[in-house]
Amino acid sequence: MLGYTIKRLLQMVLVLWAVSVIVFLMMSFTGDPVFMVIPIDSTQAEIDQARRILGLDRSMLAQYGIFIGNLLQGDFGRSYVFGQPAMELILERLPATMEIVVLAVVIAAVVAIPLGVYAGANPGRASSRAIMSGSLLGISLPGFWVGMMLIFLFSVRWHLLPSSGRGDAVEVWGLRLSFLTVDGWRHLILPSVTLSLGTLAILLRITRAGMMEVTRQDYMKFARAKGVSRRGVLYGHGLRNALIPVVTIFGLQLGDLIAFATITETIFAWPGLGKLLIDSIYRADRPVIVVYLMLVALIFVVINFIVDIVYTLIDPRITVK
Amino acid sequence: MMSGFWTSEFFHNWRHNASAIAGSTLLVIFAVIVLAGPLLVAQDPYDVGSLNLLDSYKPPMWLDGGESAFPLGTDGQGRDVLASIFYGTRVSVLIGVSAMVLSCLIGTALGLLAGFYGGWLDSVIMRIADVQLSFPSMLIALFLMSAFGTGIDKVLIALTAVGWVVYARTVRGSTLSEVNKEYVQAARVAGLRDGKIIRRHILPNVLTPVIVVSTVQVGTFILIEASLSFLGVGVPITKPSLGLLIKNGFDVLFSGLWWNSVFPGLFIMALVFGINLVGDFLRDELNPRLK
Amino acid sequence: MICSRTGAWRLLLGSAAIALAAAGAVEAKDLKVGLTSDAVHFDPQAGEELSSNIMFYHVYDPLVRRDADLNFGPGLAESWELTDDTTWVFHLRPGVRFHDGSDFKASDVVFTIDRLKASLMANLGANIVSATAIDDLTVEIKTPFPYAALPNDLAAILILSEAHVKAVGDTELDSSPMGTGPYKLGEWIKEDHITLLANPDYYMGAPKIDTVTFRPITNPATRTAALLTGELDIVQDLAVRDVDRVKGEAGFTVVTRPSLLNIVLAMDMREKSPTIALDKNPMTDHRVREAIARAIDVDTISAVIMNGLSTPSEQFVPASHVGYLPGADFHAMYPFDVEAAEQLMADAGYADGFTMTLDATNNRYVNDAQIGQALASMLAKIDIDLQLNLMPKSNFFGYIRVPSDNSSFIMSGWDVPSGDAGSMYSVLYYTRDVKEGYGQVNRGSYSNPALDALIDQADSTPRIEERAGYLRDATRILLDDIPMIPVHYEQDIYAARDGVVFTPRTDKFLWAYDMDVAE
Repeated sequence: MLGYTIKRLLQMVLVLWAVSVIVFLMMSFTGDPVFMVIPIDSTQAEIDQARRILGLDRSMLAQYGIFIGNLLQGDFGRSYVFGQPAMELILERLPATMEIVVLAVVIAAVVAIPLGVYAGANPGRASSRAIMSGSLLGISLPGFWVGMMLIFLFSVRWHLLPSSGRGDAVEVWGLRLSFLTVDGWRHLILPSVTLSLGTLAILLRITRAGMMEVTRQDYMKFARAKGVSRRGVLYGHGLRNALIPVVTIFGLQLGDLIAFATITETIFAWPGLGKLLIDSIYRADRPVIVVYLMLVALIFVVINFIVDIVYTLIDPRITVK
Repeated sequence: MMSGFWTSEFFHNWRHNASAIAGSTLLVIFAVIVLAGPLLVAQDPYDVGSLNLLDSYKPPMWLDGGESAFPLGTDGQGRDVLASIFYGTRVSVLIGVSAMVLSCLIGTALGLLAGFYGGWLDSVIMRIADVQLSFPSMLIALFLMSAFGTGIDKVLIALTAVGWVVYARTVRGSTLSEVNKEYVQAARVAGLRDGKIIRRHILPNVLTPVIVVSTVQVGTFILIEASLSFLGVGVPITKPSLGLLIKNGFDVLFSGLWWNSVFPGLFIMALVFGINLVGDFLRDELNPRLK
Repeated sequence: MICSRTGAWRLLLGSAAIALAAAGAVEAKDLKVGLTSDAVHFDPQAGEELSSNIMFYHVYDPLVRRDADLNFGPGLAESWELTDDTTWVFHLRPGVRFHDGSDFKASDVVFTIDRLKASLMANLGANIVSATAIDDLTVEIKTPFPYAALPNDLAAILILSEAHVKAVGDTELDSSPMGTGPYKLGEWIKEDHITLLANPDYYMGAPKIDTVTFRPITNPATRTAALLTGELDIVQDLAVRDVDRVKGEAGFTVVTRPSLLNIVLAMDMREKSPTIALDKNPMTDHRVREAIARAIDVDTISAVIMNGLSTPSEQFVPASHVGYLPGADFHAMYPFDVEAAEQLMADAGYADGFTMTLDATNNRYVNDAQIGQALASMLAKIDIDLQLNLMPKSNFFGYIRVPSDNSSFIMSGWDVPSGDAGSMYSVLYYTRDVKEGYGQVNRGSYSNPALDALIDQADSTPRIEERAGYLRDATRILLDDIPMIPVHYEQDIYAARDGVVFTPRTDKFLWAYDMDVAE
């Protein structure tokens, strides 16, 4: 277990390092950040002065060296555009993104797992087929289009829900949270539902597949033979085993959701990480992009680590190596 | 004899699977659109010289002000929406299929090498795959596109950079299980050349999962491309894909000009739905244990 | 009878409500504004874009105030005079206090200008050599050469409190701004909202609106929806396609105003042009430039792509500006006429046309990508095959930057909020690389010694009328030479719910101090 943890930690450092190198390399292709912060009719002398202020007057390699040096001291660099520490900008926006991501996961799980179990336990029924076709449709929809249609119907046509922003938020331990107010909930619903659709469909399918898999297992037949009721076997023995792959996918999906939140946040003007990323890309604001990607990588690695641990808890036969 | 039996069961199952039939029908329709689309519509939306700005924002033909020349209405440049969708479908499908082929070739090759030879080669390839898998593919593609700028070629590079990992992993897994089988070991001992072993014994066995992965990948690529274009970093506006058509339509959705975004959205949905229905069927048929 | 009785009854109810409100002492007024993007800074020397500029002018004041119609008048400076050709003396307004209660003094002005010269925004002070405090309420400013437009420049320099900046530090100024302006920063939740609170001690009198909340909503469709659902009172940059819809809704008003932003097409004048595969750049021929100008139908672009919400531009600067040539109209000189354009192309020896690339943005100007496509479609009719190279603004300005080695034909916007054509002409049309601070944005490498001479003369007189004369002559040369085609001025489009009292400003800076709300 300890060895495994150390190995995972080393892997994580490797991932983060690779990310920083790649982002630095790639960013040399993008626009020159200096033109994003100064007036376009600036003279060469003014441009040079701006480069000096932003630290862009050095070679790429030197800039990378300074970045790593600062990083080791816990300094992630400052945004070219905002002039603020990049990490601060990102942490400020993290709660908003986590809110829709977590709510999307909850919506997906609450809807998908019961439906998936049902469809997996009763594969022949027409209702199961309908559920499966519906889930395929969910995978086939472009999320941004669904978001547009939801705004069009719920906000513009029917005036039921607000179209954008976060609404009232309450500050708890320094975190601004909207799910504690009624207004906040009204703002949360559309973006979270939009974001959850893809995950919902995938979770549903995995649950069903897992369920169908376990019904074929020998121990299920034994249990049936011993006279345990079909229902008892399915939900007592089967469900637990069927959920193992679901846990893995859960972890992977969480990361995907953070990524797809970029689009959802753009549509709903949700003040989260994704919008910051898109804006930073448009502004060639490298420090913010680097830190964002490193953070997402970190979240991913940590989630995968947790998933492995949860695995061993659900299924004692599995040991992490 | 075995293969003949297998085929007939395959077709038997297909005939009795409503979703498979529906999916195949959708794909046939889209195949016609892709292959013969330009012949089915009067206008070439890419020929900017033929457009007339005065035709802009005409509604679908069944609404007031609509014209039969533009069955689904027109956009802000006077382009026929149906023609744009047909041409856009070609762009989307071209990108989806080409990216699939490219990532399949690269990923399968790397997966075979990693699985067959193992050792440092395996470690290097799989470490790169690990690093990449710690990112959602959408993010990687978005980041690459923001660095490259727009363009079909650049979208292809980004999607391939994202897509090869799935193939490499799948193929490496299947290769590993084949490599350890006795007949392969025997062939190796017998001094058969590596290339021949891979072609004769391993490739045929990894093909099934590759086919299943490929169908789903085409759909995934089409959706990722649509998202990139929606964010403004995908294909150029002169040759819009379905995703870019939706984005262009979004800007005027609230002005009541819904046909500019609703129709491309329905088409992309039907296209990917068809792909996924068929992919689902193939997966169940070819490898029931593959999830 | 019944009707009139109900009417009277309503009236009674109405006055009762007003009485009630009055009884509740002063009713606090608030305003919710939808912006296109969040502010980036509250430190006016850390960067500039529209949203930040809007915030700056709420919190800080300049020495010279620019009103909604680009008239310049006293701000923190009550008066000023020239003591010699390059020396200006500004007399500051006495009794002005910063938000923290401290007095505004000449040393704050000196500090502000010194800090500006070392900042990212040094460009704003390009024509200032030094600033010196004579006494607490007098500042002397020196320019490098006789420069008549200095007061206009000063309208863009916002005065900081020396003590405050030194106390909070340079980087913290963004989060705790403090000036003399009509509003103070209440709360800034990034990408969510900015709340400004009225400064009751403002030197021009307390603002009418007590609380102003700005919400950034980038997507135009979402912004429209937020106005219509009542989440906002007023929005900036209503999408041109949404104008008719909002006009059709009861209780909402659309307000438009021609902006200063002139969309222009710059043509390459070099012998060999980067994207044209010919030995000689056709656009060096005046006939080809004229043909291109005549092939572009600015009225249709305005009517269809801009939904009527743009004004074809007659010249390179608007009529309100120093240097505008009364009576001259580019599009009357070279009216849309495809046949004449074809003839000109044939005369120049390009009857079969040629291929070149247009560089343009896809997220900077109103409907920029659509305009690009329309241009391609129009030039196709005179056999110019126009390839489109559209990119986001983050790549664009670096890509087209002088020496512009990738570009032949560039669409960009230019606005001159200082109200003086000279600042535009000297950077856009002056021969490149001969004089520091001149020609640095001359992307087409246009060069005309007569024009350079006129700009030199304009920039060496401290008398504004003489300057205007030189610049008008320069405008005439530019209209004849066609180094650029002016397309249109965008219109600034706002939409508000009824009851919001609002007059748009030429410079687009929404200013709550000039606004009011009624129920």
